[in-house]
Amino acid sequence: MKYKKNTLIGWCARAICVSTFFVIWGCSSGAHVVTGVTIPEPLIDSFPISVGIYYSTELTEFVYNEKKGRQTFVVELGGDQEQVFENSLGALFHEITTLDSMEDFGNTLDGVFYPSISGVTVAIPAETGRDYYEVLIRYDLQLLDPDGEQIHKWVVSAYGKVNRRDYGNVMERTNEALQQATENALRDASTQIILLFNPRRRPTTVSDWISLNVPSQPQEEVN
Amino acid sequence: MTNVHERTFSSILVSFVVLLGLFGLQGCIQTTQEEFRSADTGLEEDEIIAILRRATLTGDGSEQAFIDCVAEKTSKGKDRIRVISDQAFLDAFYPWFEPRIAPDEVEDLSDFAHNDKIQDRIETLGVRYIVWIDGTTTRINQNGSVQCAIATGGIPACFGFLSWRAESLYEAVIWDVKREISVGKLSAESKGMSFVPAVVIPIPFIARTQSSACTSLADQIKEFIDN
Repeated sequence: MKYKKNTLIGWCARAICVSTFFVIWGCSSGAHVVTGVTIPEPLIDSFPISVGIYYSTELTEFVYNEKKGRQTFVVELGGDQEQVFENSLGALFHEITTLDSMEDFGNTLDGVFYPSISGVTVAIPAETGRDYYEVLIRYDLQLLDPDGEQIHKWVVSAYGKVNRRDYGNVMERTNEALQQATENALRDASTQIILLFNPRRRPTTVSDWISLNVPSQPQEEVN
Repeated sequence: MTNVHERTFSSILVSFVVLLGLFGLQGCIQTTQEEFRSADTGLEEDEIIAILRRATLTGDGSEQAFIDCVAEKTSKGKDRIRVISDQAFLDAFYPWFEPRIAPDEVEDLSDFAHNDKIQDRIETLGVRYIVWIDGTTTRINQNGSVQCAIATGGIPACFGFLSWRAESLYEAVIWDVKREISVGKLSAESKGMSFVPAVVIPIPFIARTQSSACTSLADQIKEFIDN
């Protein structure tokens, strides 16, 4: 009889451990995401133009923080911003220089980019009723001439999503899902910046600026 | 003697749980498949196929796990085909196949004919066919719930019953990159019932409709391309 009692106690202990695991999982609070995106080198030709880019501290240290009910969602976006802009603008232009300040552009640059994040929206399945974790990052991207005058300002809405079913059937890995959705949004930001210079999409002021700095346009451009 | 009894009791218990699990995994899945061919197909030794997710920005996209599953099963087993994965292909052709600007119609491939960099990359990799996969697995008729809490005496436990019906419906459209034509369309549909009873411990019995649809679609792709 004793062996049955011991076995029963053993199985009860295991059952308690498993249940504790489920309770802890269910009570886990939101997500804390630190992105580490790798965007591949774009398959495009560059304009023979030298540009500068200034990353403000607000951009490179940007953190999204929102409380949704009892859960807190934190997304550290700042660390990947240089990757997004170096990748896209670095492929679009022959030379890109990172500036320490907006004070002095020097005489060697044809223009300067000044990016900033104007807002971030994170949507989770529990609040939307959809099957997706979604991230929307809104950027303002200014292009300035060597005198500091604005040539154009774009609003870029970068969007990324992942299907919740890729992150567990019964218990979802929220952190992982949100991280991938954010990285998809960052990749989309890079794609959109490349598309801004499509001849059919770019504004006249930008086309004029390119014409002014490029004696003859490259044979292939962003289609 | 005690140890023998104890081991027997444990073995019976473990066998029961395993059997229960196996029955749950196998439970009630129905799969149907369809094929439409509009041109002949075939693959040279140095040619590969790309299996891609038909992703749109706002629409419902297929699960990445499903795309990876189809790519893996197509590249293994009898009549296997060399496959470049979704992510490797997107990275190799960045940004041309990103959800925002990927070609919608096979005619759009002609836009790439003037881009030497894209043409070089297609030739280097030997990409002959692009298989676009669309579709998703959805839960319908979800009933019941499972609640987990710490009961009196500090013992955590889960109670309840959760059930749902899963439907996996996927479609594959195959483009011939060399001839710039669509060569056919395949589809696989799997339906099944899943449930999670919980008395202290929740035990999930998941009808693996997605896995079944994946195997079916991968087999169809191999057969279709081998002609």
